[in-house]
Amino acid sequence: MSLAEELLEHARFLANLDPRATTQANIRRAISAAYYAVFHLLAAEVAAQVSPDVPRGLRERTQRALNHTHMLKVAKAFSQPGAKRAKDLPDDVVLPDPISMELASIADIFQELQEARHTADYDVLKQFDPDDAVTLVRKAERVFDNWKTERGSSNAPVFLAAMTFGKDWNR
Amino acid sequence: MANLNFDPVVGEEVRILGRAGLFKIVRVDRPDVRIAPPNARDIAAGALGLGTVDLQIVGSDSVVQDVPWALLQFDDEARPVRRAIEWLSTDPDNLKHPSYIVDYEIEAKNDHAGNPSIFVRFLVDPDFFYENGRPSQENIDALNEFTFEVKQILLGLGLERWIYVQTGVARRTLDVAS
Repeated sequence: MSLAEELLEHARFLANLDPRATTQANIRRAISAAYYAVFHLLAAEVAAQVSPDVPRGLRERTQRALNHTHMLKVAKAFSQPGAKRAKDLPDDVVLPDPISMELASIADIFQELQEARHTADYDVLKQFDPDDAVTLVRKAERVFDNWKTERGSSNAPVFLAAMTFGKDWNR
Repeated sequence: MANLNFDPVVGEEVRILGRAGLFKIVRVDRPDVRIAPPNARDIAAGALGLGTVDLQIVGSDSVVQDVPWALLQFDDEARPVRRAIEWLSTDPDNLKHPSYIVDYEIEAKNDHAGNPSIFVRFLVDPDFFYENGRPSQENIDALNEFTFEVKQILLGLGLERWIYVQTGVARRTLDVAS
């Protein structure tokens, strides 16, 4: 089982604890784990695309180069289905196909989860409901499902490359 | 998005381009002819069509008559989103507005990364959303699908601000009289 899948499983476990007995800590950790499940799913795919797996550890180090804020911007750029170019990326970054519903959904959920993760980890004033975790974990599961469809698409390599190098494409 | 419009409405507070002060709309005259279907970015720029409004200066009885819509400036940056969500709550065709959504909140603020954003939060009534003490997978999927569709509609407004569409549970206030 990959780290991403383990994190999703962990998020699922925490989110599905008895809602009458669960705690803010459980809910917050569920939301955080849901985000990181998606983050590591995409990070592993990025690394697999841009880095060989030998020598051992090189690909894992590549994942460390990813930046959450930059990934957020890329996710925003890809969040409109049917668009023929990714908003805010340079005009000469060509998408082979219009953005699919699946990719737009992945991008949209990535943004929502990252924002929720930040609130869950740092906003101590916020009172979460057990449903918040269940709903967000379900969204993370949706990303995993949609990625199975999308990863073979013509746009997937562009999306993944943008996650890593997109910030330098305007140079 | 037929029937979605951003026309000024009575009661809204506005400013007038080139004039100091805050005004409240007390009368709206709609144009017989519209220049073009306005998009949200035009609204922010004040280009609203050929109608006019009468405005009352806030804190005074003075009324300014026949002010063209094009001169109106709205302080509320979430206004286009607010109007779109109001429109959605009328359950327009092709969008299933789940019955368990009982309220919503709209807030303009920065997201955690500092991006100017608008947050929409739909609140669900647990009595209708839950089955056997928990929300069903089916209801969660329907809710997530709905928020995704709403997000697409809001992105279509072409606003500069980032859009977040979230969900939460509606909290009831206890009725102490009963």
